[in-house]
Amino acid sequence: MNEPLSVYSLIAGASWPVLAIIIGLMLASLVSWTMIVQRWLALSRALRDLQSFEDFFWSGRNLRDIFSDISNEAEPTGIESVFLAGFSEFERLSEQNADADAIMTGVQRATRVAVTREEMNLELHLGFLATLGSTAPYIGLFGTVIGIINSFRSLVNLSQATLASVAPGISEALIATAIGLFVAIPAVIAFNRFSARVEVLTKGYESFVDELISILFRASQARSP
Amino acid sequence: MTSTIAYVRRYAIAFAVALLLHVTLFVSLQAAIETLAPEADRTILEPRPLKARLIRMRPQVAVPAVSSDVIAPQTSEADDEKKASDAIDLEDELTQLERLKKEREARLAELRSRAFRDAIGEELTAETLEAIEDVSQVYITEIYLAIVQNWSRPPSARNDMSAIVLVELFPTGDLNSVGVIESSGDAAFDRSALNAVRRAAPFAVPDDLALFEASFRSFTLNFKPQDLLR
Repeated sequence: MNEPLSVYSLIAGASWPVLAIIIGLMLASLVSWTMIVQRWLALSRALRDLQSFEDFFWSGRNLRDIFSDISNEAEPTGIESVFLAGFSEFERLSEQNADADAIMTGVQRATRVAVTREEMNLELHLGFLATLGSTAPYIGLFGTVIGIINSFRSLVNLSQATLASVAPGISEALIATAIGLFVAIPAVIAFNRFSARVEVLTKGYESFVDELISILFRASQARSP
Repeated sequence: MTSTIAYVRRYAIAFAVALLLHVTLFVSLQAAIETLAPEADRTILEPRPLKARLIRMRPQVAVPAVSSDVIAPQTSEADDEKKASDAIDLEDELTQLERLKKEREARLAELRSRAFRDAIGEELTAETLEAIEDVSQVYITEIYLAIVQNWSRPPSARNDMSAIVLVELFPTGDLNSVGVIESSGDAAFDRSALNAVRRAAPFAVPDDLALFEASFRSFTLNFKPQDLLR
């Protein structure tokens, strides 16, 4: 015999609509945490890759050597694929003997496309986190309202309404709100944090693209005076 | 196929971490609640001598022989014997309970009728017996209502719970003692039943001592929250 105010008994004792909502929220929590951990790993790796690539890029080596080094890699990272897209476009247009302006326009277009694609990769699942963060409290609240309605309906058969006859139902119903908040809070925090980090990464990619273009511009000017 | 593998590889670690987090949280929450919960207040009173005497008066009934062939004619001998003895035990207990109940009822009826005869000095008829029953019933209802009004059930109360509580009163109507005879299995629920009785005291009891002795000196109450949602 023990005090059965355990988490399990509170959840298992709820009526079936509330129980369904609680189970749904638990699954959502599991999925959201999977996304959070996955995004966290992916974004910190992307940040690390950006820094190491910039070190590598500014190490004073020939652009062509860097290009051949990177194009041999099996899976180019985000910033590397931006560089690959820009530089291969530059090479292709240079071989066609296009003029400097045409080369620059082509390189700009290619890098813009690559940056957009990388941004999409970085923002993967962030929409899910945002949706979950804003709707989970409402779903929990919905469960609570259903639970409270049920618990007040039980008053119909009572001659005198005491707090004790509705309190058990309400305390169980409130669990749904608690779980809703429990799901929403990490999702919102993660969404804000990851959005900020994606912003930083995108800014990093864009400034790198600007630098790359100015280098290539100088090269093309030197080549075709 | 390769994309599936890549997908699984990408999310496997994240999912494992998420699952681990949830399990850890659940377990720690459970542990926290268990340690924070107050110690169960288990004061179960022994039945009083009045009741004990009644139990001692149980007569030794003859064991009725139950033919095992009727119950299980196809089983082996050892099985037969076991089943037979089980059946006899059950039968024995049932008859004893039956007898005990009858005896008690007879005693109560006798006490009541004596009280009424003493008071009115009249011949006992079915109508007068009913009248006594009515008088007791009024007090019983009053006590019942007083206790129900003072009973606040804990959140852990469920419809299928039932706690049997022994209440003992003084002839003035004050509470002598109250204790759980048969626990509901839920400490909070038992406590709430005890508190309800304590809060409802003192009770209105009949002035007639014989009537008081018959039904109010010591009685049991069965607490059942049947009007709950669950």
